[in-house]
Amino acid sequence: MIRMGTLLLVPFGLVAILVLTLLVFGLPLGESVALLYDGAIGDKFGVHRTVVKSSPLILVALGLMLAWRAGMYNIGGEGQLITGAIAGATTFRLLPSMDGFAANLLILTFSAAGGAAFAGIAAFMYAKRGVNVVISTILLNFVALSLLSFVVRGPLQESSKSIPQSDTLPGTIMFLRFDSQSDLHAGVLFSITVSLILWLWLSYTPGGFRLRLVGSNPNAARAARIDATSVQVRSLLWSGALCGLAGGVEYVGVSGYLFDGFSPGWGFLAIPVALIGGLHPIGILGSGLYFGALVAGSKNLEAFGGGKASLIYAMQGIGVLAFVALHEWLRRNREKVSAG
Amino acid sequence: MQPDKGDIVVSGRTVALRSAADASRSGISLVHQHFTLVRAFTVAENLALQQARLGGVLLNVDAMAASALDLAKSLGWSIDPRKRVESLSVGEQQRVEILKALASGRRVVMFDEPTSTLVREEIDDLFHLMRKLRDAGTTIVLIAHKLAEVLEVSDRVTILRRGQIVASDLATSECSAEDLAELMVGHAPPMPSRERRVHGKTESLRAERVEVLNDRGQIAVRAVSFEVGEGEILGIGGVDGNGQAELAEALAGVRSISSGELYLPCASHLVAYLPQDRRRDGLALHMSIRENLLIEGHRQPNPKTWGLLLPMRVRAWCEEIVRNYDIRTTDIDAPAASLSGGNQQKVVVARVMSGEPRVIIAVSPTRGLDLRATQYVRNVLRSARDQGAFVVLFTTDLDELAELSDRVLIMSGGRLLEGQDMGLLLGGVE
Repeated sequence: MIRMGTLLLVPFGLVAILVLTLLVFGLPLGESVALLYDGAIGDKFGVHRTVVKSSPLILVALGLMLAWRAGMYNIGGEGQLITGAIAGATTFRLLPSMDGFAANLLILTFSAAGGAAFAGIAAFMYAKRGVNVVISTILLNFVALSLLSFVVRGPLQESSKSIPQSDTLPGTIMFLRFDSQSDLHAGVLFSITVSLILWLWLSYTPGGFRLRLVGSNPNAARAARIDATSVQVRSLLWSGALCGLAGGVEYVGVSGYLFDGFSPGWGFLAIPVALIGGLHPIGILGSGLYFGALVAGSKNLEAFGGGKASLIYAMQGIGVLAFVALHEWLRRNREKVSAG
Repeated sequence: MQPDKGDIVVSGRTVALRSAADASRSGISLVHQHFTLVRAFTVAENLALQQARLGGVLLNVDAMAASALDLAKSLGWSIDPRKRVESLSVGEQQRVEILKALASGRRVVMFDEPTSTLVREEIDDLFHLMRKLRDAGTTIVLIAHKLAEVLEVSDRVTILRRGQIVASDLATSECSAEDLAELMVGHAPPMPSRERRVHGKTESLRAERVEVLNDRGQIAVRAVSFEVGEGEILGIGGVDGNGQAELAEALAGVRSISSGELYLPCASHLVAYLPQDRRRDGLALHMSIRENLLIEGHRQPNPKTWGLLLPMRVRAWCEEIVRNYDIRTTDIDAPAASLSGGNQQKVVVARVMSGEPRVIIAVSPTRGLDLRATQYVRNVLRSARDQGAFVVLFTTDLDELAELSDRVLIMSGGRLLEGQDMGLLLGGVE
């Protein structure tokens, strides 16, 4: 989407935004950066934390990217992630006796299916009635949040019925932990694998080409007898599946149970991850790790420095604004060049 | 739009028209062919928009629309001012459009192809209104291509051909359709009716009583039947907007037909489609030339390696096409938008032809191209014909029609007309 030269500017821009944000918040620059650094990549645990935090960001951002590249502006990553996790937890509730790898596979499959089905509501309304996907997916986020709130107090509540959360998965079903002292789980491999697969698929397969064509000019696709609506609907379903998978991976990898704050806004934070990753699978891997590091580091900043974790939300906002402004500036420059 | 040269004289006074408001002050108004109504607004709100000043804190829409509604009453029209425009029929919408025009100026009222979307009864009503306005002292300018309508309602006729007046001030009562037709097309090239080049096979592209709806759900193509043989170019001419675009899309399989039967001589993926608007429907302008060539190519085996679009093979395939079709570019990874119009059309032609199609549906394939590119595109169509393709060429250019076609039909009001006199056919007279 962007030329290589400008791509190299992105890391510099992100560092500049970080420094500016710290200054605006009135935090001591050196000390804060050191705390962020320590928390994110200072030691083995920091690195583990960063990787774990970036995993849902990358998966959801990849999902969003897939729909956006087809011109379907899915903003419902949060809702699809949550319904994915609910579908996963439901699978466990219905089949509590299963164990091991099969259980893993089944829960993740249903998580993806749950996310896809939830995105399917928006896809259906778009295909049948032309309902704007941005609006339907945003609103469905709130439906999913309420649904989560309901299930952890109702059908999926833990057996003692005293706290609003679901039963905890037994350790045998949880993903393999590489280190007993950290959260790093085998599920993080999904984000790397999926981004590689999507990169190859988008670049080198006829299906990926069709999806990019539909996103670039649906009229040309239709004139070439490609069913643009069907491509768009499928892209949104797969987008929802990836977001749902992110929810499933969080469920099986990190928490092991559902609760009200199950997602601290992964689905929303993934939007700048996707944008700053240039809507490219490999770019998203990079920007996802960066934002994951920020999330991990800001916990440290909050605990030992004067900063608040809300810092990263400010950064995310400024990052998106800067990105959009840069994009627009480049576009106008290009037009000036081609006009002159 | 303003004239570069010359004067506009209204009632003996030269006027400078710098804007639509100036024209309105001089008493000139226009009823647009494509309505300029706000569909989600009510009739009264649309009429109120015509008021010169929309000021103040509170709008009294009813008061602002009152004079226009009084006018409607005096014309004997019953229009509910509270109805939303989108819920009105096309004829009713046109009445609102006319009321708007009359409210802004009634000395000269111009109608641009006003009957194109109307049914017969609505046309009768419209002509009745025109006569009424004329008798009340309004000058009416009717811009039309249908000869029957011109003869029916006008008093005098002026004929424009390619931006020039070829005849003016003809008294309608002394004109025949034949006279007008001849003036319209001038000394048009003789229309071909070559023997069909049948190659001894019985298969053909055949349409039987095909009807097609336009985007607004109206019938754009009316019970059209025709046949195209192997190695034949069927030219379909006519004034733009008479159903050609819809018929072409139906033949290409982009638009569904609402009734009738369409028989293809081959599988549907061997039907090539050159759309009229190449920037909108032909190209993905922000994608590279290479990727644009793949729009059809990604379905073919040649650019693929084990079913995948791997860079080496794709690049070699694209470079060969760029050479064969003489596309002038130094970089096939540059966006299609960077090409000139002629080269953009070459990309569309090249990728469409790369699939070795059996049927070619081409709509105004040389519109906006320079002479060289025009000749190039025509040669591609001719050689495809000579190799046995079934070609349907839609064009508004009579010269192109004569030069390329083996047989010509004219489309008017959604019907296909056959005959010798081009002018009469263009005017909708069979």
